[in-house]
Amino acid sequence: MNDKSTSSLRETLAEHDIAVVQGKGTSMMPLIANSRDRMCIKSLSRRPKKYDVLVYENPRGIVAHRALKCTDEHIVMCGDNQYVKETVPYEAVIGYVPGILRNGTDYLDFEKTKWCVAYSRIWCVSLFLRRCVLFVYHRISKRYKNESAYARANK
Amino acid sequence: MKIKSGYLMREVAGENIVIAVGEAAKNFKGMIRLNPTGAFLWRLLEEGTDEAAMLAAMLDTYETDEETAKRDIAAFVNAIKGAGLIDE
Repeated sequence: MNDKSTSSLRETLAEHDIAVVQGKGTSMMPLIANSRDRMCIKSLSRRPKKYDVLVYENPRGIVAHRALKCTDEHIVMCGDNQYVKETVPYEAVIGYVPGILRNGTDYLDFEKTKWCVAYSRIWCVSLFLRRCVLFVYHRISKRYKNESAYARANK
Repeated sequence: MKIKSGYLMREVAGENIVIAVGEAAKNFKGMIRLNPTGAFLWRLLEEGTDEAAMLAAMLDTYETDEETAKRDIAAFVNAIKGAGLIDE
């Protein structure tokens, strides 16, 4: 999202307390798929806590990732489909995602749906394992892409 | 008088919001937030209730006088019509 989107989202949340947006990217897969789900974003009236999906601003724009740890100074964030952690100051947080509209219609509440609660716990605990799996997966896909490009170039 | 197909009300984190789906989402990118009375009237409009029946239902459910209820229904219907969400 650009600066206009950032201010627009901030304004919407300030005025209505809630916003529904179509996400972009794959960082929160498999829970949030950009072409399938719409994110409901609410302004935060409480302190962010572990497992929250927070919407915040970083140099790349606005992102929604999961909070892995909340310290006194900052929050450690990571997308469900990522393994690189990011440290974010509390001031950067714009709101949180209490749930999504699955397929654009059915509301899935992250805090009230049992499997969502279980998923967030398991996902956070398994970060190290996922890091290893994703590292290997990315290496293999990168190598495959390079070999394909090499094969095409030598045809 | 009925809500056009493609517009749905959902309770999201304690708020009643109206969103567009399918074809309707191409023309309506925003979202409408309804208070509890608005959500009540929206449900009636989803069933195709006319203004007289809405008034009766409102007087039946809420402790309000006829004049206020009529005014509130008219304001709500006008707002929804203005947003183009009603099939006459």
